[in-house]
Amino acid sequence: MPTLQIDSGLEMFYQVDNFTDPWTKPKTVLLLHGNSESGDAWFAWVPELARDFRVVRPDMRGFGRSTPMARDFKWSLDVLSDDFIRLMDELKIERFHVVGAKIGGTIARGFAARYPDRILSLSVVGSPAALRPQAETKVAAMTELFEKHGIEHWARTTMDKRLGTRFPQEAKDWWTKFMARTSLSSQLGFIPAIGYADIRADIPKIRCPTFVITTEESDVASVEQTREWQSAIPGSELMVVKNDSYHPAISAARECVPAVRAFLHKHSERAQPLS
Amino acid sequence: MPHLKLPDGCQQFYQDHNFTDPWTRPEAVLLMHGNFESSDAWYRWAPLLAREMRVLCPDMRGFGASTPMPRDFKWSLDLIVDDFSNLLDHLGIAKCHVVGAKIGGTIARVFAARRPERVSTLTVVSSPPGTRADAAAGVAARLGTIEKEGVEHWVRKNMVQRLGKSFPAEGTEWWGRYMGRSAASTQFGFAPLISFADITPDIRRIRCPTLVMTADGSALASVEATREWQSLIPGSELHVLKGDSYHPAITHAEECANAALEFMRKHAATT
Repeated sequence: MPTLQIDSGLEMFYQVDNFTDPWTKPKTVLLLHGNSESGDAWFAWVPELARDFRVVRPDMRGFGRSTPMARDFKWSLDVLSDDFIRLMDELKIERFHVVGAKIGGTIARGFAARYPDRILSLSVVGSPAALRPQAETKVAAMTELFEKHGIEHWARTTMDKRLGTRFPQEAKDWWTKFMARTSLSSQLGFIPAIGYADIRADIPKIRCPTFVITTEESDVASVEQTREWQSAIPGSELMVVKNDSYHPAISAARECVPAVRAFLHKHSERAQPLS
Repeated sequence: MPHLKLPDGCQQFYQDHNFTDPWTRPEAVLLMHGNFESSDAWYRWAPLLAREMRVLCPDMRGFGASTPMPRDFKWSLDLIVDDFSNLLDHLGIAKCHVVGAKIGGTIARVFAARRPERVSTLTVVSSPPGTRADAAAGVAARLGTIEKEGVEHWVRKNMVQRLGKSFPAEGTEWWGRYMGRSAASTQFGFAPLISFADITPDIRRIRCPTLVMTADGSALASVEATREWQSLIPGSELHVLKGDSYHPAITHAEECANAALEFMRKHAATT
């Protein structure tokens, strides 16, 4: 699987899956993973989407197999958006769908606000409010926790809320190890600047068809908190899944993937055959 | 996607798709493509299977991104069986499901007969009878045309029978170019020694759960000719599709892949 040199400090790893009829020109969907994850998080999504779409899954700057970032790296939604634009330019994809889960959904909203001409539609799955309550206190507590006990400890102790009480224990163990591979330096810069970014100013700039999924008992955002920013996006749709996890892209993939697939189809022109 | 170096120095390309829950230990399925094809032929199958099992699609030696074979290469079914066994060894897979389409189904039947310990189930989609009556004439006609006019001319001549009359025109065109890229040198040994090999003794040795699919309008083999060899395999099932193509793995991909998946699930517990 390929990598792309984005700038002198970043080699970005990405995966492309495409199982469409090879004589057609399918639309592309860009999948943006959450904090402490990588493009591998989308295992339940790829086969179902890649039958009809070309699916591009980068490991975000600092995460997975992409270059880790230094602790003092100046994270911003501008930088992350530009990374993804560079990738799509390299792949010669002018317009594409974007799907983001958890903080990937925060980044996707920032991205859609910055590049309205490039994005066909936006899907946000299990994502926090535009301004997260008590951001400062929480960031301080998380930073201390990461430094004292490491990422694995944090991932494990928050896993019931992340994947829900009904998700199998062996899955939670796997997920803990998966998240624990994240570089600490990336994590420490990412959390305050991106994980708790204030994107209130971006929401009104989102004009593309938008689909939002949240869970009834999410610990990250209540249905009301989600509806507050979702309803500010004209024509957007909200789906609420019965679940006590805040990561429905994983814990409720069976419900989320077909819903997003149907949404993407609704907002794609018919695939044109190659000349 | 990776390459594996075979013992004689040839490179075997393969696709490896696995979208199963990473905390589980999934079974694997080995998909064997037909003549003039490659792993890319499985584009509709891979996503349907790979959420439940690891999907391995090799390019057979001589085909696709694997090393083309010279005209005088000494092809044998044992050699191809060894190539696929090598791949499974390399990946640490003791036993797997096997699916083959067209000549891939001939090779899959032989693989199941000669490596019974490695095969959980066998699925054969539209494959010729164990003994092809017209073997000598068939080889001569094919190689004569390829020699004079090239591979693409040959594959285009049969495309309507291969993909049927209702396949989209752009799709038929793509298949003509795709199969037309297959190495001509490979064909001169492959056609007589593999495509028209007599595998009836192998068929009699198959003991694993076996599913056979064919289309009722296939020009490659009638339903009766297919039933004749299928019924030699104890407990095997025959699934007849409605259609005028002899490559239903492509033209009826969803129907075939879902039937195969259902069959593999049913027999998963016995592996």
